[in-house]
Amino acid sequence: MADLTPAQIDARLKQLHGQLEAAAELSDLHEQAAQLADVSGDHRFHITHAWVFALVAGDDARIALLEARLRALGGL
Amino acid sequence: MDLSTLKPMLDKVNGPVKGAKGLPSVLYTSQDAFDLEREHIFKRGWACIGFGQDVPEPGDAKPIDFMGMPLLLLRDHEGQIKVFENVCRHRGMILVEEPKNFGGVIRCPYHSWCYSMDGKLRATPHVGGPGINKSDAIDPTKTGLTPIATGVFMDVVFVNVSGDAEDFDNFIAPLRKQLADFADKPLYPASDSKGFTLDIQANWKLILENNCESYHLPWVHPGLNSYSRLEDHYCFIEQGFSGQGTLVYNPGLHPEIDLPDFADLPSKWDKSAEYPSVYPNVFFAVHRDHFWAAHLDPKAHDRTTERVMLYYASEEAAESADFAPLRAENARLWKEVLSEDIFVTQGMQRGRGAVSFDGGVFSPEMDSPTHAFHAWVAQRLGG
Repeated sequence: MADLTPAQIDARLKQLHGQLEAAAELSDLHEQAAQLADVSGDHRFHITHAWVFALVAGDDARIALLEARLRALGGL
Repeated sequence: MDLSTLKPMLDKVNGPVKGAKGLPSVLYTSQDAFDLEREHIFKRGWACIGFGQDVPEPGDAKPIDFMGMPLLLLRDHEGQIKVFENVCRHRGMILVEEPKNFGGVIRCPYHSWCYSMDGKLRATPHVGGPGINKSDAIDPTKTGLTPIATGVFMDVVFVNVSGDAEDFDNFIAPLRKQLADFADKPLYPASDSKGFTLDIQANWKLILENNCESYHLPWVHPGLNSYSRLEDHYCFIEQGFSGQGTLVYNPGLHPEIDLPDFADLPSKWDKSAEYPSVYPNVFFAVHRDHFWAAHLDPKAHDRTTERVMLYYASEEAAESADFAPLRAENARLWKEVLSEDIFVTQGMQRGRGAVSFDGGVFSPEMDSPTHAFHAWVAQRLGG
């Protein structure tokens, strides 16, 4: 997915709200949002959401990567 | 209503069938009785909640309202049937609202606590504050989905919600013995004409009682008289079930072709078929060429959903286009037969409003399987 602006990410997240069949995209969007976050708390918040939606999607490789990042951030 | 007020009436049900009374009308006509039965029969013992075919693929899950108890029937990624309470351990939110396949975890829609298909608590996002996904107050090893004791026999799924009933293998052993010639054979669910559902305005017990006996067949199912006369039937009473059988099963679904039979059946099944009514809420029906089961799902004291699922003896029988007309005709015939019973079960339900009806009487020759069920219910309610 092409890089999106924070506003575009926010709009797409709202568009996909509740659509768990789009869990992989939701995970990706939150990971992008985490990269754009300029506050560490926001970064960990979005990585948490990226992790939850990766769990929903059953994407084991992505789950492992996100859990490693959360541990490094003190979130797990 | 409580058990002590019922006991004098229930005591009249027990004892020899000759002279026994039927269950009192109040057990068919009140929400209080329905609640009592839920506690003393459906929660404390084994009861049917559906079929393995309700969740045919790994990852499939189906929410079930079991007399007000929210359950989740699922097939895990290893193919095993499991049942959990369908509520998040956090705030008691319903987890799954409609049947679906889960490729990953089951996520609570409230705070996104996540559970793996084996029930383990997998994620508790933000539980320790924003971005902190663990808390000393929450032990994931003790906060998984609540498992429900589950057993599967011939694809029929049983649960024991209280968890303190006898072992499932012991519970099912008498039926396994009765149906030994079929019990371990592979069953192939129909690819079309899978079954049907009937919504019946009658108490669940009346539907099971009616299935117990063959006495009504010539009066209610005139179509059966041509090939299955009353004298061709027999009845049986065993531990946990009773029912009827026929010695002249020959449905003649098609003038030229027959459905293939289950492999290696003894010759007695060439013309026989049996219909055990397993207490409290499921019928089994075995024939040389197909099997069906009917799950009675009590919705209220005066309303029951009867759901029938059909199975065949081979993949070809269940799926091939050649046999599709026979599968359709077979399903149509059974729906016709079971629908013919509705006017009597609904009539008996309305009849329970008669103030002087005392539970009725039984014919020792023709009604013994029905009396056996009444006595079973009475004993579970303390009679």
